[in-house]
Amino acid sequence: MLRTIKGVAFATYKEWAAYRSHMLVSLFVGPLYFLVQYYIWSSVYTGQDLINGFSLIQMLTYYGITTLINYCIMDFAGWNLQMLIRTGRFITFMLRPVSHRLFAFSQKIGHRMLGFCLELLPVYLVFTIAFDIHLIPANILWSILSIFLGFMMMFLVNYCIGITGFWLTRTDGIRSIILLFRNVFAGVFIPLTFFPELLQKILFFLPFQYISYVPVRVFIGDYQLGGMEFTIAQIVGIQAIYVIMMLLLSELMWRKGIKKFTGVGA
Amino acid sequence: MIHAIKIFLSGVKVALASRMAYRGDFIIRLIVMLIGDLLFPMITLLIYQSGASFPGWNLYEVLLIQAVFMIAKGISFPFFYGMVYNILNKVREGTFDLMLIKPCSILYFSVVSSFNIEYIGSFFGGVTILIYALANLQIGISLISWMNFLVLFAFSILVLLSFTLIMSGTLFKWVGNSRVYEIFNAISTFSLYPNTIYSKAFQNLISYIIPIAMIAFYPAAALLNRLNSGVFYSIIVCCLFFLISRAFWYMMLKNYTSAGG
Repeated sequence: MLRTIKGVAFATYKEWAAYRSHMLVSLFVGPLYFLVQYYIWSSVYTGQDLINGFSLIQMLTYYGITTLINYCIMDFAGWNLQMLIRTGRFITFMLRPVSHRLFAFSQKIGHRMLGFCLELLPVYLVFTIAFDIHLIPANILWSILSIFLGFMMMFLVNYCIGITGFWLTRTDGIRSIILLFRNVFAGVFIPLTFFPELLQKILFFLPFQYISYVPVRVFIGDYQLGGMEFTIAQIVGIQAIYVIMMLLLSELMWRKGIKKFTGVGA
Repeated sequence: MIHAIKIFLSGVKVALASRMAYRGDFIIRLIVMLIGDLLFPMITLLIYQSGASFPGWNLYEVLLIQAVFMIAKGISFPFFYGMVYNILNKVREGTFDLMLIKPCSILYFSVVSSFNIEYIGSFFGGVTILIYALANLQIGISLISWMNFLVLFAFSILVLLSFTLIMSGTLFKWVGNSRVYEIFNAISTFSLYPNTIYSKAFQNLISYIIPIAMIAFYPAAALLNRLNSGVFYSIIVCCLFFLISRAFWYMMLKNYTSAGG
């Protein structure tokens, strides 16, 4: 299994390295989005020290970490799978002696390894040098573990969306709507503590916060949502349980969906 | 002129027919576009609900700016924004040649063959928020203010067209780079908030060099009677920006090699 992961990841790395200029767009887009947040929150914090438990520095740190973590976990497995199903090209994977999920996961590892070099590290330097935002994890080991679980969660959520392609001819619409909710409820646009308390409680039980919000809070060093507070070890444990549940859900969906595949495309 | 309108109508007809082949997906996409655009008003609402605010701007004034952005997008995007996706795909596949041999202006044909009705959701969402914001602002808007708004709104569309030309022009050389959308999305975000939250230097940049402020801020400021004399310079910059982007598009077209990528 490790040989498969290594082989596919390396091939993907080399494949995407040919399009490295596409990835370098992040060097422009990431800091630009951050600049917008910088202006918005600098303005909003005029005359205020704390908003929803965040100081200005913490808020900017939140957005900085969110940007970097998203470079770590970014994923296109769902789009890829539904495209393969729709075009009928998925048939070739039926003949391969490796599960498609493992193949797609290995692709993601290769793709993100390149992203680490071409997106995360340069943008981290821009944040540090240009914005004077020092993004240092409260506990490096818990942070790495939580980001890895977020990486898995992102993959599994997207993969489940991709599996819907077995039932739906075109999944662009449904994929877009889930991706939108995923980003909003993962706390990518605004910390989840800004949402009404009842919604925060609901969000705790959805898988989305485990993609980005939890890794960000673990990075910062404390966790709270909907009036609930957990230690870092507890929330990472809960995150791991959700990843296992999502893995089981993807397996269940896969077994149901594969029976629908006819190999002719649409 | 009649010939041009006929081409446009047939482009719309073909686009609608092909999109309606997957009606369910189309309706979902329409809703997604609308919800996606409501994201920024939602963030603004959450900020104000937390007791914070943009100094000097109340909630409804900020929502008004964001509503104007949505309306501008809802009008302009169905008509020409689709050309970015169209050119991206055709250049990647090397099939843009088929566009080049058509007996009409290549730029015009690129625009009319890219009609995309999906973005119309932004228009309706924007109008709803605009009405909501105006109703809560309870300010009398004079006829002059409405006329100023309409004139500046036309320039807003011109700026969006200019960005579309720059993005699609880039794709003749930068083959298959779908991330040009992200660049535009990041840049246009600056137009969603009051100009005064930015530093003076940055305000000048987005007003007089790259006229992003014209997309939503200036038209909304016209309705709120908050226009300053700088808007006249910004109008001139918009015209120059369009001419430059048009020239850029034709210059980049020369880089098309038919080779795909």
